[in-house]
Amino acid sequence: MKNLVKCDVQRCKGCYVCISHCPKGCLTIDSSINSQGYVPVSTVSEADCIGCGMCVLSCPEPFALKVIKENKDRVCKSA
Amino acid sequence: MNTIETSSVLYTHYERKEGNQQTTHYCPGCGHGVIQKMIASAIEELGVQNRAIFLSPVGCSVFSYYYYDTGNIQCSHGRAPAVGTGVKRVLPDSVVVCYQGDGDLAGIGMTEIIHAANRGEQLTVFFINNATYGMTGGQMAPTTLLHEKTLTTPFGRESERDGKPLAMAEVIASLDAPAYVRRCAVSSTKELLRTREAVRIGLKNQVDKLGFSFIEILSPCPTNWKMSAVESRNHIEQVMKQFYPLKTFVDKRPENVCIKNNSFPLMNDDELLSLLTGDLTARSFESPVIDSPKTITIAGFGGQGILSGGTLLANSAMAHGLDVSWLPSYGPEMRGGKASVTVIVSDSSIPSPLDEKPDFLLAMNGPSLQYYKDKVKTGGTIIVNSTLVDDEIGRDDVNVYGIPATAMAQEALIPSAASVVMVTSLAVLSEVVSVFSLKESLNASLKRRELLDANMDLMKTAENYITSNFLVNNYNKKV
Repeated sequence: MKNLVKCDVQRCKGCYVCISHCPKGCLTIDSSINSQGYVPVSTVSEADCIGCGMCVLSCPEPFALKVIKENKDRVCKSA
Repeated sequence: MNTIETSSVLYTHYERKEGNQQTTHYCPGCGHGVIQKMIASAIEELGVQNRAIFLSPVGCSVFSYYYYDTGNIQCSHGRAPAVGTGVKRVLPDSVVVCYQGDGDLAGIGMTEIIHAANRGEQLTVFFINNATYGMTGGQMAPTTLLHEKTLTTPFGRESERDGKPLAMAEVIASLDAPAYVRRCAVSSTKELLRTREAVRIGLKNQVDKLGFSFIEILSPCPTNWKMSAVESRNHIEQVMKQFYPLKTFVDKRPENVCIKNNSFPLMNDDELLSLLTGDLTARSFESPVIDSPKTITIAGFGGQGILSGGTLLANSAMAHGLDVSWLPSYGPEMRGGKASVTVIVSDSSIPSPLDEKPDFLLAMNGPSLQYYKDKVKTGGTIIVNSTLVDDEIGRDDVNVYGIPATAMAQEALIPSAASVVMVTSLAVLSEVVSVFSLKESLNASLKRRELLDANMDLMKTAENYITSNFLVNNYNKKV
């Protein structure tokens, strides 16, 4: 199983700061509109997420993004 | 399987918020959310959530208490460091997060932050600098950059007209006390990681009791800067950093000097009273006979001991277990100006300390007698300082007594104690307070305790004078 970024589309406000901070291009602008009227981000399925968590760190909205990491050996810091 | 997500120190559902309780009230791309998530993570990591107290400022982050599952206080504009000082002194083991914007900290609350920093309070201050008054619509802040256009600087900020931007980290670093002063930014990936580190250090310093930590964070305001979220981060990197260098200004961690406990001892009411008055013996006398509230006005000029006389009377009535109010009124000069004090004593609660119609007037000089004599209630009492006053009273519905208070005080070599003579006269001539309680309260009321004996002798002289002269010789007959 690969590392995975998950976006809560109802919490995302579409500022796209996470896209600019992702070193691997895992995030993109979605084609939908959420109930707040924002166009949220979505993940690029073929991209190779390294689980660095910069998207979570740079995101201004609590709980909008989370990264699920595949590698059990590495210690993760919460962002 | 590990996950990287927002700290549980923030609520996932914002019950206190109106409207959408899933998302914050911040604009898209705002720096507040980024920084508040970092602070939440640091609180969780240090394991201090149950003793963390978050001080929300006034500004966009005024509603931080929507989000933090910690103690919360919403402070008056700019006063978070003062509130934090109070919290910290009462609860030395709490972890206080002062979170302030640039308008709040550098504009309105400049006094509080400077003095809290100078005292080296055990606080962690996060100073969110977005160079504008965000909540009110983008007016110029003290930190607004030169040539930056805002609502109130439509031609751009000019140093000759508006002054130069205030670099707060440098200002705080110029003081001796702070333990940690650093400026960082939430712009690039690198700076985000540094900011996260600084936030942790700032809070850890407080846990370790190292002293005052000040973390300035350059933060984007896409809405008022009229930029996209990503553009606003580039603006910090390319423009703001030129004027606000990102670096650590002060770091006393290597010295590892743990600040001694600077809180006050906790005291109960009796201990406090004892500390402030140095006297607990003058309490709980038998209550004097008053059937309704009595208002006593002592009036004269500054230097006659007017206010102290009122304090003596009030303390004495308190010792009787009565309710008391003490309302002074005086000019800016310490000596020679108009001075008066209105003391109300009552066996029930006093609704207002204002009473323009006294039952007793102690007139220490001519002008105050003229001003107050017609206000005294019918059946009331006027005691005049007959050394200085020989005016006609012109009223036959009040009792009038003349006491040479100034002469007696001068004779005793304490001219400022003329009011003691007057208050003693009141005690002898009325039943408001007893002479005994007056004497017992003297120590607690005197500013200069070395004059206690002289004042006590003066009281005895006054008491003897009144008992031997009245009720035979009243003021009108004296002339």
